[in-house]
Amino acid sequence: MVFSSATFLFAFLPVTLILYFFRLFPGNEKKEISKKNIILLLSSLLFYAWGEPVYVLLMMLSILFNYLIGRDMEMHRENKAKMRLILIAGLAFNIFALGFFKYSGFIADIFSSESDFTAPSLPVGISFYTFQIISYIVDVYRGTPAQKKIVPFACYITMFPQLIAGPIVQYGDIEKQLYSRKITSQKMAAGIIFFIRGLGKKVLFANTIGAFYTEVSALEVSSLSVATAWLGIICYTLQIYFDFSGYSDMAVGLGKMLGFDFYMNFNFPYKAKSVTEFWRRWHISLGNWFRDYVYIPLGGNRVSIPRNIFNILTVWTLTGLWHGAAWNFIAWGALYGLLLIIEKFLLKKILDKIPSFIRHAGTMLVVMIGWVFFSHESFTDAFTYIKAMFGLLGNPLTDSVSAYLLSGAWLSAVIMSLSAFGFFEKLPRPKNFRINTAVMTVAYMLIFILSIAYLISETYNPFLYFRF
Amino acid sequence: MKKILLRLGELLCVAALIAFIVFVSSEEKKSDVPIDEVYTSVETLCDLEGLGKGSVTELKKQFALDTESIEDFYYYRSDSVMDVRELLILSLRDITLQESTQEIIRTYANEKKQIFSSYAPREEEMLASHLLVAKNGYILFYVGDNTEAVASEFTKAIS
Repeated sequence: MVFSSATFLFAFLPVTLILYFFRLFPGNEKKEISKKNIILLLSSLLFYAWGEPVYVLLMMLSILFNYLIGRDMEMHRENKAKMRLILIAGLAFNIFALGFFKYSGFIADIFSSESDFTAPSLPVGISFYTFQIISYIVDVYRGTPAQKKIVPFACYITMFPQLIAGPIVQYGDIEKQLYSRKITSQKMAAGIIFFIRGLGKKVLFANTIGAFYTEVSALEVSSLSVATAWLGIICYTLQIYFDFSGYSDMAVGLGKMLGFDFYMNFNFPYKAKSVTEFWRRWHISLGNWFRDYVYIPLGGNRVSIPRNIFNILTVWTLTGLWHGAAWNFIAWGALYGLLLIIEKFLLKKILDKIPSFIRHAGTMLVVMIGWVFFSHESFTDAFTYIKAMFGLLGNPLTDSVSAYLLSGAWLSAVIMSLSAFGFFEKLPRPKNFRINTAVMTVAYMLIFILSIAYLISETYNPFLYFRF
Repeated sequence: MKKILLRLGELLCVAALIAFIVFVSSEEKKSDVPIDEVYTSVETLCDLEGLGKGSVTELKKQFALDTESIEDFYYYRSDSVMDVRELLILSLRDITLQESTQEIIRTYANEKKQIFSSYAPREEEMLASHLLVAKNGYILFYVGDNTEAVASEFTKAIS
């Protein structure tokens, strides 16, 4: 089930909220939270099972195993060596499950291109929830008390707002909220606003611009004109941002409606003036996870320069691999690792002297080239696309497709670019609180109505990050 | 005692994971028969006279299919709006998309049937008796005569 579907918006969400807020134990907050956790767990399992009826078993198995691992570590708190063994067993289980479902086909292909092995389909959200589970068992190993009850732990793993596409919530950030959370009217209002903003980003922006990229991707890469190739990747650049950040906003909004506070996953990444800054603003929860559970344990930057370079490359190759079991993702991750190393050790002082608009343009160019690797399944196609962008295939500068794309997409692309660069955030707002509230209410209602109208009339509603 | 139970629980979970993997791996798998062979097996039985080959863009526009999920395809349709004959053979990248893709095609066929209802009974009848079969990651959609024989050849070719 996706958030931007009629089933979710008009059936699942209203029923869940009614059951969630129905007070079964008035006056007893502890029991109320327990009841809320049970409702949240059951609704999350239903949400997942809607699209993945078989894989819900895998998730439940994973929850049970890791709950037991947590309890086991807690019982051996005094014996560090034993705790380490239990942690290793826990990590092995989780990495094996993720590895089998996500990487077995890729590994089999490496060893034999004619292998008969057929990998099973990828369970939706396995990369996200496995990382959350690893965060839990590592945090318990580091000293956080293990969960005594399985329901709050299962809630943490399965919580439907962030189950299938993040943000990746670290256990330490949410532990207390599992037992105590306040749902105020302000929080509910903020949640609704976040959700509608995300829905608008996904449905009105990402789907609209994505349809143009789909047209380009359906063409033979070698036949693209220079302008078509550029317009195509500009559309994809906007689509992937609004698609993923829209989904993350909806997740944050739903979390708030249910009383949880998740960290923001995006902070206007296309405003970045360096690759380093871009990654501080893009998919923040994934960056934080790799920093806390891979980069720092490897020694981070408090090591020699060669070791630091190794650490950065390891983290970024793994980041690429996390996104998909294919060489293009590994190359995409390694490319960013390399760029970050170059920025950190070679260009830092030079970059500071370059005018900011040039740095911004340079970063956007690098990011768009990165998206070419991300959006193509094979190296050959990605390189051919890049060649087409720079006219290295002897392709024409423009053609009828580019004219059609430009006429159809320019207005959307301009509005979306302004939004992605944070222009609308800077617009002056009415100083009077009531007028401001009224204006914002009308604006968000309009976004909601338009999004629903689009959802009803259009069938094109993909979600790019589901495959991770 | 509690420690032993915990360890036992963990071991049971590991055993259950292995059993689950074995179960999932033994489910229906993608056929490795090339799509050309599948097409050749049904081509002679289908009434394709006067039909032209459709492009991937047409597939997206007509059926609203996510073409990223399609590995390869054969699509024949008529240029005339009154000729409802069609043949579509899809080879999917992911076998789990079989049902949802079938549903999209079924919706397309039903909507098209609605368009022809009341004024073109023969076309409406042809659309109503369309053939839509799926097996091992292949989907066949056919509007035309001889549907039973086509379905049988398609299933044989994939098996």
